[in-house]
Amino acid sequence: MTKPSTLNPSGTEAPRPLQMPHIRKVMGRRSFLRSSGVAIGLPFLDAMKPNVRAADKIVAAASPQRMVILMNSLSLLPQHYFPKTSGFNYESTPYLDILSAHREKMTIMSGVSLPEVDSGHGALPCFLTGAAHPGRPGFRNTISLDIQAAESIGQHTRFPFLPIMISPSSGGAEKGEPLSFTAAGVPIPGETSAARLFRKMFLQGNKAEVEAQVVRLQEERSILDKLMGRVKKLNANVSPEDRVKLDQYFTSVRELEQRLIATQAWERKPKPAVDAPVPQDITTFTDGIRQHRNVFDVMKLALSTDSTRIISLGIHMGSTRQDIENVNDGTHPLSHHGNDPEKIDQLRIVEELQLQEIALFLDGLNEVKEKSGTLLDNTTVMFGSNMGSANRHSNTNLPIFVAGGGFKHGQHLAFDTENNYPLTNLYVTMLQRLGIEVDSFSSSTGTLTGLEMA
Amino acid sequence: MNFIQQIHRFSHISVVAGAAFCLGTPAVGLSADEPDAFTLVGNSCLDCHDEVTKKGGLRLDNLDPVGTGTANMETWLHVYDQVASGVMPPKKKAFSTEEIEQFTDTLGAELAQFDRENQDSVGRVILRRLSSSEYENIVRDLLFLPHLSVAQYVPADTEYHGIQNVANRQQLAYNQIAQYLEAAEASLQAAVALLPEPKYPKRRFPPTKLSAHRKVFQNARVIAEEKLVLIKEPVESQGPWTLFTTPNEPGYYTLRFRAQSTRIANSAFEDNPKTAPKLLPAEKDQTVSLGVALGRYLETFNVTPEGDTYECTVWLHGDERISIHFADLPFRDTKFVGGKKPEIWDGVAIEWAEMEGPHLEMWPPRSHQAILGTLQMKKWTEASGLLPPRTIARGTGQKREAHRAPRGPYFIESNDPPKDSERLLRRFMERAYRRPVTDGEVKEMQLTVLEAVEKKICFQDAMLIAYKAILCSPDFLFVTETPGQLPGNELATRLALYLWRTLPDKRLIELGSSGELLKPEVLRAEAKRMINNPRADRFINDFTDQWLDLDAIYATAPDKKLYPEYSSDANLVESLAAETRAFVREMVRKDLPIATVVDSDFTFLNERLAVHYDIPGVKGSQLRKVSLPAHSVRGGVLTQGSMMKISANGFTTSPIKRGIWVLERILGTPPPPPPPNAGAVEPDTRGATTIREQLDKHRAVESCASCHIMIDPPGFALESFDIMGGYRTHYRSIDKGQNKMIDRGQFRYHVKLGLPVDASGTFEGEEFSEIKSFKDLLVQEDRQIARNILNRLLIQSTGAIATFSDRAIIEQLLDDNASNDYGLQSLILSVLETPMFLQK
Repeated sequence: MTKPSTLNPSGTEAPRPLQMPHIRKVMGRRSFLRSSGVAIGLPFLDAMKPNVRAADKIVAAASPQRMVILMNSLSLLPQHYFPKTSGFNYESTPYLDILSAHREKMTIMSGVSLPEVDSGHGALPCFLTGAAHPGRPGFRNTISLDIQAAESIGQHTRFPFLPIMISPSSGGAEKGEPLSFTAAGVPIPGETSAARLFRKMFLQGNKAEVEAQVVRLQEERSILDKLMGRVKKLNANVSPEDRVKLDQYFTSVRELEQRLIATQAWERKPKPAVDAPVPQDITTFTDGIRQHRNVFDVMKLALSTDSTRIISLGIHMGSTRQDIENVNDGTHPLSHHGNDPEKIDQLRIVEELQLQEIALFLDGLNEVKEKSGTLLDNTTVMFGSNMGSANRHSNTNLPIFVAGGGFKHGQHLAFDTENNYPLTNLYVTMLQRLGIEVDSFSSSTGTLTGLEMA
Repeated sequence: MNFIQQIHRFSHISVVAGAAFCLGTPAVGLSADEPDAFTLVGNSCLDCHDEVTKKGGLRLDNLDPVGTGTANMETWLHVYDQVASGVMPPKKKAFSTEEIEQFTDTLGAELAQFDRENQDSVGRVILRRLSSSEYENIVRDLLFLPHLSVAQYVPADTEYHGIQNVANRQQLAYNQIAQYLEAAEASLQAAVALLPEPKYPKRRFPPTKLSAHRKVFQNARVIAEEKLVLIKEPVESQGPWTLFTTPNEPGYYTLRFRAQSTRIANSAFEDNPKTAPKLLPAEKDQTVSLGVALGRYLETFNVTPEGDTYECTVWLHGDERISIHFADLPFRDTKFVGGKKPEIWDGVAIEWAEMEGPHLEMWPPRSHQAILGTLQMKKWTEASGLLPPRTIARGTGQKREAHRAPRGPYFIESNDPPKDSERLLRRFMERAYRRPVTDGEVKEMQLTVLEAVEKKICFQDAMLIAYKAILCSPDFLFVTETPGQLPGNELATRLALYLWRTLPDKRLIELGSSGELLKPEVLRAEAKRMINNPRADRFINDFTDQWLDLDAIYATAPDKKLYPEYSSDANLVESLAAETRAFVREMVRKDLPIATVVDSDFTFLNERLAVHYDIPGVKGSQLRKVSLPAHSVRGGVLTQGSMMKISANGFTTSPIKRGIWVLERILGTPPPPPPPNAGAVEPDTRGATTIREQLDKHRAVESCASCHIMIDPPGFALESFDIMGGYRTHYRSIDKGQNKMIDRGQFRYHVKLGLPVDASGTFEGEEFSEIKSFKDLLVQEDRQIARNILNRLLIQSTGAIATFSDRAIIEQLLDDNASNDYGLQSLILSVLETPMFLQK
């Protein structure tokens, strides 16, 4: 009897749909028989162009809208976070008490998750993309919310978007994974140094340094030119299948060149002056809480100087024991508490400190007055995690809240905890809030029900 | 239905299908009046698998007919296997036997025809980019920098069952081009030595100079009898004591120290001891390791009571802190015997330490000569009329930024830039592109250099721009191959990438370009030569890492409360990984039967592992081959501690995770992913319930049972091993259970034993009571294990996943290898004779 080989994709892998749900028309049930790959190859940037103009209009009218995503990869203890009652009069919880100053400017969500996004920690790369089944072999990620937004409004600022990471770990698997992915599913790693961010944004090099940097960019551009020329020559000799790969290489090189051109243009524009010292990076791995403060300070400056309008922050507390009183183990080991009450209490200490930092960040945004409202009113801040319970490594019932952005806030939107509501609907709402004309993103089924403009 | 049939059901691959194909069942119905597979799917599958319903996450409404491109082939193969195995269409709409046959015959014929045409015209594998480890190996070899670490700069690989070089999984975006630019720059800078030959005299450090960390470890070190005494006091982590720092120059260094195992009284650490501290005779060896910051172990030594001079010669990146660790130091919360610090401490006494190096083979180093030849270096002044030379950062990786200190200003002088650049570039390009290069290609790069020279940029800086372009060019980054039979030089590259994971050597290039390599006997002889060369270790290690996910051994740390005795035991973790690597290497070198993966009468141990596995008579830190007692639960990769650690999370074990691991990695029959809302098991360490009891509930649900009846049993068998691979009869608990004390000499650990482990189950319809009887059942699946390994080898050697037509060839190879019980080396080499390897 013959046993065929079994390590092939068919066993565990569903074919991926085209990665452009937002521009692809819904096909009829039987359109299959007529289709033959027509929609393939529509370049993303072109598809997004009309929306850029739409965003411009809004920007001209009022203070710019921004978007901030905070993602805590080890989740929050659900029992201390989720309110038991819903609506505007929801009963607060220990964790929400910490954020109580902003109760009227935030909406708590429960019973939400990303449809078909599973595999515990492995769901992290999909938190902002919503791509299904990250654990399966051959999984390919899709564009993340922040990069999707940057494609439309990124050109207005020195940094189209800022991916940042807090990870008080020495390295390895604990170092934290990126949240941001290009349309090709390629990760863009987050910046881990607050000082480096600050310098890039606010420290103007002297004239010679700026010129040296411009020369260097020029040189890299000439290398890229050479590479593009090389592809054209190679193209003549390869099969059409191989050409697809070369085209992808060519497009990547060209796109990098375009970005270098943009960087070069910004390089000569003066950087905004801020009245703050360069932050001191924390080089030990035991003070992740202070890293929150450092990063949040720079984030506030980035937003208030309009250096960027899109920030995604991944917080990875990792396995290193933090220097916190009454906490005897790393945050990751504590999150595997196995219902040990002692571990749960220690984890709560860490999470409460994290939430206090987040509350301070919101305070800070709310203090900055802008043309219309405060910086918080013009910034949609979403907090969330890729897991609902770190102990179980479950990916449902995620702890989510949205603050700021000028929405009608103050309530607890309680969705079905058995049959979760798609979080991607919130993403559509957030994109629309930035003035981007989209009506779907990833697995969304619409905009978020219950979150209206104030 | 037996187990393997069931497994195949799960992998959606049918026994019937494979058999039908192997017999070469002729195609039916490609004639005009017979519906093709595309139409059949359109008629039968779209009610559930359209855009709206997409049941099981599968959409077929956007599928193009077979033959319109490779993009859909995996989906078609999936459809084939589902229908052939009778899993789909579902019960209510099930096909009759005739319908199944009609469908699989039709689709099978279409798939086979497509494979044939596709392989002839465009090839099985599409244009493949070097994987990150191939990139690193090649750049190391190109630049003669054997320890350069640049893999972290280049784009991460998209893995397929752990395999890193699958062409159609590779994606590229702008930021990755930026990464390649940076990787090239870092590598090239590491190669250049823009300074006169440095002189580093041998340096000896007496005890008084070996005390950089005195303040932190005040209580754990003291000078007695003119020796530095380090004691085994529990500290924050492994608590390395820095001995000294190396100069800012990468290279090979010899590190040496004179030491002895010793004991010393606690009173020696008092602030003003009344009597001079004295060494007390020790009875046993101490295992200590030399390492650098960030836990990179260089070498481990047994320091004896008699004392000796210990030394090692190792590559250092430059400016590295050399520290010494006790390999078996307990963590800081450890309770001492009797609850207070001991009166007498174990430790080591160091008389002196010495550093020699870097050992310079030539100057400028070979890496420098590889890109700049032996052109003269001169001191730069403004009078030269040249722009100042750019800063060269020596060293790579973590240390790179710290090294951005000007080392000159020196520059390389060329009296004839057109000639010099032509010569140097051509030599480098031929190696980098793995083929002869045309004059035009060289000119193109040379132009960059000459333009820069024109602008008064120093020669070396001008050259580096061109080298950077070369290392980012598609000719370097992609493995270009010609459809049909591969020409000799392309075959040479494929062979070198497969067995050495790098560029072909001179001999292979010659055999390739002359076409000799195309002769089967020459190819086989070369492969034999290569696999017995130490360079093949790269292949063996990569294969092992990707197959068994060995890197994940560092991903979790043992829980300090449940497993205090494993805390901070880096020596154990390193030894576990080393055991697996040595074991697989032995299997390859000795061509051992594939069933050795499941069971063997030997393994590789050092003293720490032997204690862990409870095997007497192994002393010292060196790994060596050891015969196992007849009734040992060890033997095979299956029950090695490394595997048990990787498949656990540091505090609990999961039969699900381990069961899936056996199915996926050993048998190559991964179960389908859990349906949405499958729920998760809540780990509970309070000792009231076992994971097995929790799973029993899960298995009672019908939709869960169909998969868990396959997944759980191998996992149950492995429940006899804790999170580090230690043998156990009871689970650990934090609440309910019996107190137990673990005695480790000076230190004692208190743990709680919870409920007993039940490692019994049913596999292949037969019952097993514990791990040994499970192994007896699993070894009978050696053909399936060999099939899995062959499949992986074919993917790794070609960069493409098996197609429909490959299946029959794999079966043929299995038949061929059955007589020697599927020896691992034979399997590795048998791949070379397949059309998959010989053609694009």
